[in-house]
Amino acid sequence: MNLIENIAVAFNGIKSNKMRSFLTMLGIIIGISAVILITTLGTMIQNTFTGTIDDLGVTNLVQVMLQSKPNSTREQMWMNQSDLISDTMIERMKERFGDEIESVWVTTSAGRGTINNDVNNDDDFAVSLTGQTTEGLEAGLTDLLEGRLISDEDNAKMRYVINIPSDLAETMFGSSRAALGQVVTVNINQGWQASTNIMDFTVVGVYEYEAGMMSGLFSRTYECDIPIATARRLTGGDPNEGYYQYFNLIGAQGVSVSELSADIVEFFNNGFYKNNDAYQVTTYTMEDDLATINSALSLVGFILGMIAGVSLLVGGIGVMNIMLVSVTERTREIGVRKALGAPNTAIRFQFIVESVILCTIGGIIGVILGVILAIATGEIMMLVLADQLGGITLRSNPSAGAIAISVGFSMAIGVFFGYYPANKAAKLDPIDALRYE
Amino acid sequence: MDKMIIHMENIYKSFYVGTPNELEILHGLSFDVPEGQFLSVVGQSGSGKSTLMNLIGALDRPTGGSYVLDGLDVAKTEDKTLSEIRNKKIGFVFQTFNLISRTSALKNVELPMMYAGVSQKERTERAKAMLDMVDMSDRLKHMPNELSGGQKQRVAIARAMINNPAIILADEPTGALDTKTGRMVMDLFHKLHNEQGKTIILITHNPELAAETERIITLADGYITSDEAVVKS
Repeated sequence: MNLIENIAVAFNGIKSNKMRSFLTMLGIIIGISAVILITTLGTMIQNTFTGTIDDLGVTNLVQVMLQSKPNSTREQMWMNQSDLISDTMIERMKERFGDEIESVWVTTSAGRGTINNDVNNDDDFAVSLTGQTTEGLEAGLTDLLEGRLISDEDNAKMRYVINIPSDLAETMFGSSRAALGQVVTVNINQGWQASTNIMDFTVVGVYEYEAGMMSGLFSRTYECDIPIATARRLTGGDPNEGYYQYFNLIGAQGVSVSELSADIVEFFNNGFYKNNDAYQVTTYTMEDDLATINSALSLVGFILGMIAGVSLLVGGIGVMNIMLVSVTERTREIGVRKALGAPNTAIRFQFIVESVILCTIGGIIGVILGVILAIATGEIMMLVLADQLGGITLRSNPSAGAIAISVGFSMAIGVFFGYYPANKAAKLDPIDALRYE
Repeated sequence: MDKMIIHMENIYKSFYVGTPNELEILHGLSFDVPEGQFLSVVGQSGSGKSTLMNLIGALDRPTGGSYVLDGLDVAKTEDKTLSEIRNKKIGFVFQTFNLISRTSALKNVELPMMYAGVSQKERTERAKAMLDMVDMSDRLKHMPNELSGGQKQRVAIARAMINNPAIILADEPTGALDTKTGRMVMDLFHKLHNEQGKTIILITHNPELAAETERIITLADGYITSDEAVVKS
């Protein structure tokens, strides 16, 4: 038996029945291209999600927050200042974990309200004010475009300075640069009870506004940063010691975020919160989030893949049908081959090779078609959803793995659906086959 | 004493064995064929000629009796061994040529060697030499549908000869040819017989062709009614 010989014979058969072979392959072509399209789009969406989060550099972000103890003995669950996480505790944590923590990021919300520009006082914009430390801002997700970040000195002196996003700067002052040194008026009307509702801030920095995936869907609230000490004073807190329901930290490069967060939970709960009758500390990481998103996307992809798989099954049945026709048509040839000494295994092998070739060609065409469709769909999605995506590029990379699996799978279909007809051919009685008209 | 290529003893062949319709076609045939004999088997339709041919050609097994072909007991072998016997010991020549369509003359002749596991290089060389012997070396790449009947039969004979079989089994080889090309094919058989000493079994219903051979076995109703040497005039 000779594989190359059999392949040549199979190609001969396919060539001599071009139309029939093409129609047979069509089922496989449609099935495989559907699988490729769906898996590629699925991976594209998944990569875009995780890629966006990776871009923000927050995969090693840990949020540390308070949570009520499950068997709390306290009758009223309100939080006292003594329940909150204090700057002192955070300092102690930094001492304990040292290099494992790259930076800590505490914030205090100074509430929501409106912002406007004293110069041309015609528009109010929705704003939320957040008190920030320099360390937090440096660790954070924003890129400074103009001016400077809130500095330690701003905090020490509780200055009324503000960092605003670039799109707000452009709307209010024409450009990011023009915004520097300008005075804006903020009217806080939601959130913490501010001791003073209306106050002026001087713009010292403009950070780059990056659209999120869904940001186009909601009306924009401009997020502005002020010194954390200023925020504390506005909200009536202790200007020198901060108290938080939660804070963020960023683990050092190479540190396992899940281990670090477990250690931090233990550090707080066996120390400061051991005797607290109502609250303890818990953590939340982006890893958890990513895992949830990924498993949801994988499930959707799997179900769609199954649906595409059904079309492959139908394609496979088509192949089997045409192979049965081919065996019947070539009964006499099979008889001659047997008379010339072909063993049953050689006949079986010949027809399986033919079926596999048919399916593999279909599979390869299907892969090419699927890749073209996936890239085209990606481009169209980018065009149609440009507003919602806000500048995020969808990365459509048909994976080599998916392509290899698809071609391999179509070969497997060839073997599976070719076996029965091939076996039928192999078992033909040589005398009957020779007499077949 | 000549070496016996075929030894058939008390051969029975029945169909539908064990059913109420059991039908016995051959009723205990016995004959030997010495090496190098050119023999013909003649008989009317229904005489059991085709059944005997299938048995000789190892396409089927007898229901009873023993059949030894070139030292191999064919009666009790399994399918796989039968394929091997057909491949190496028997060269079939059919009335309707039975070349594989869409396959060149060269590839058709190579086919039995492929099943015998001969390397591609050797296959091509031997097939070319064999086609040269049947005077078809200028038609190597031609497809069967581009050949005349006589040419097809010459390719078929080359294919039958290629594995150097113990016997050539020709079933009405001239039946689909006109007199002139039929003559050419018969001459080729004589050449193979005279020059290479091939054992040839010719199945025919044409008494004139049978008379050209060395021995005629006549079948009627599943019995050998005569088995005699041809006296050359």
